[in-house]
Amino acid sequence: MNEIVIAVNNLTKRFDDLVAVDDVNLQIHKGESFALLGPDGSGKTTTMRLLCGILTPDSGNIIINDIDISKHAEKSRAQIGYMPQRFGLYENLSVLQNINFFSDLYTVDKTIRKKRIDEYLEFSRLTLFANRLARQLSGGMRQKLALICSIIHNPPILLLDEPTTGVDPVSRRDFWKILHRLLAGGMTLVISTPYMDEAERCNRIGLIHKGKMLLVNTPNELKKQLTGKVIEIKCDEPHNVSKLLKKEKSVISAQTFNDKIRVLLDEGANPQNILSLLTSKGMNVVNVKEVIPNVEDIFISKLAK
Amino acid sequence: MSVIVHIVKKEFLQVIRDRAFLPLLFLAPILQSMLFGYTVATNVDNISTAILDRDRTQDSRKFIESFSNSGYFRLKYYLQSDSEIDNLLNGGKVKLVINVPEGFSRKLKRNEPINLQVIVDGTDSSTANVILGYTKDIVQRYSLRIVLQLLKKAQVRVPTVDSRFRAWYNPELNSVNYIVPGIICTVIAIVTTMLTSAAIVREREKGTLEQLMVSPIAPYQLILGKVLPFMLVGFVDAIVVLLTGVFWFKVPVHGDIPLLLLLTILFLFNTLGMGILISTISRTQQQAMMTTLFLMIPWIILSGFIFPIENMPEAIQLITYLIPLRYFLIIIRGIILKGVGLYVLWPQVLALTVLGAGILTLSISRFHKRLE
Repeated sequence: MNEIVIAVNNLTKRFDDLVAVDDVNLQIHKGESFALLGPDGSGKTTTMRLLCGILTPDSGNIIINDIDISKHAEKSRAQIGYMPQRFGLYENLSVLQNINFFSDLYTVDKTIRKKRIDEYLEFSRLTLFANRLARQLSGGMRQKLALICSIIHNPPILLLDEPTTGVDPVSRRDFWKILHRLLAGGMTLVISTPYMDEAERCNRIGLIHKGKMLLVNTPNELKKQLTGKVIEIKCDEPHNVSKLLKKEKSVISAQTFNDKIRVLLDEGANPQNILSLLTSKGMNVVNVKEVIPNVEDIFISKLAK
Repeated sequence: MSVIVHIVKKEFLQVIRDRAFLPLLFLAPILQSMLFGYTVATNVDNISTAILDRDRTQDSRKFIESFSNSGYFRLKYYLQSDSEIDNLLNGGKVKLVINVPEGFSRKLKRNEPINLQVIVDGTDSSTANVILGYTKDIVQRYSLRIVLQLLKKAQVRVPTVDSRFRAWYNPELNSVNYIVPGIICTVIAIVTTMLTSAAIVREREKGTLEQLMVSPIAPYQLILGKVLPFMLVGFVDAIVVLLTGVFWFKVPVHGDIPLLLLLTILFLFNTLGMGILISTISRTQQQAMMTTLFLMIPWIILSGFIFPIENMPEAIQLITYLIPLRYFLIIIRGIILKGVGLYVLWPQVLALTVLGAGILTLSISRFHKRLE
């Protein structure tokens, strides 16, 4: 079994009446990528901020590499890289000046600094823009620069809070390439995301909703945990069809994508019954097929219960 | 320690990059010195005066001459009738009208009392008071001379008291000498408070403060790193204004310059503390700047920079004790104009120290809480 680098025990954080993080327990292993998956307002960011020690928990604790971070916040800081949702760059400093400033803050040794900066710049294809001001960078480039700034001290653990929200698909792919490279180098990644497809790239996923950790498992195991069936219905009037479906007891959820409806059914439900129901109501159904469930389906089924 | 240096270095890099900002830092104090130096001059001379001489005799002309000879009055208009007075005063063309009545010379010869009419523009009460003072002085000297002549003729000897005035510290009563030290105070108070609050709020606004917080840097290092550059800026600004005063306005410096600079640092602790305090209650840079201005205006008005504290209502005088600018003003005027040292200024130095320590403690503890 892998070594545990982050242990979260009974973590709770309240903001006035709102319980943002509710009795969360979690273990993260060395070298894995862990996705904290949840909709907006589910407590992802609060959990991340607790993990990096910006917020102090109301109860429970976080142990990072045997250090209780609420007691010894400073000691754990060199161990962690943190890239918040809105990474603050110094807009009127250049790419290189930003990186150098963060290297200074983390007292990165001068002898290895240059080599490391060159390497990161090249890998993220920012070498040509080294002297450009941060405010002149595109969204994707900013994100890569932020990533470099947060890993310049080569932390064993990297926390990323919704790193690719609002980033174009190409930059997103680029960004993940860098993350895979960091993983290959032995870094442990914790990534919060509202996107299922992004979460599925990780070794394990924790589903978080209303501050509670609903489930923690690998993407494949999670899919196996889905007890119901998922069918895809192609039809002429998806809007009316989905209305009809939602009235049906055996239907957990129905989501429309263009001319298709993705329907999550109860365990015992028969897709044929659904089809005959729809045709009896005069709907023209082109096609019904059972599909492989994805993490999103699991999430929806868990939320429905 | 080295971490502080890195933050200072970064702060300077940012300042240099902001091209519009840099001239503002050093040109603004010079411009402000010029502005205040020329406009806040409370010296009253060249008083525009209109004369309505109804007597038109040699005596009346001689009397009028005593005004023009004094050097304070500029006789711009010689009027023919009462009706012209309104127009001149309304239009602000003259500040003073002297109406010499008909029969001036005749009454003089008959030893009869003469009623002279003097009209002054009272809109600006303090200037009007000064003008009336000069006028009374000239009229009294004139009548005293007549009395003395008569007594001499009658062979009566009377004692007279004559006074020789001497203004210490500012012999020419040059208001610029008084104003320039005040400009040093206000310029560095505004500049350092505003820059500090804006620079800290900027880190919060841009989200960079969060990055600094997860880094191994301690809060005190962060505060020092943020505040030191502005201390230097304030210090340089103080020197710029001082040099402008000395070389442009020829303000004589009587005191100990190193002591002045040392106490400037003490004052800067107060203004930088205010800057940190404002940063903890502001969300955006604009808010920080507005709050600074909002605070600095009463600071300046209540400091005694322009309006003497002794003339304020007692309740307000009590408030002025809480304003660091008040003490620094006394210190800086004391050193520059009077050449006094710590042996005189220690109460002010003590007050600045206590206030500064209080403001810094409050602001740093609030800053810590905001980090949470």
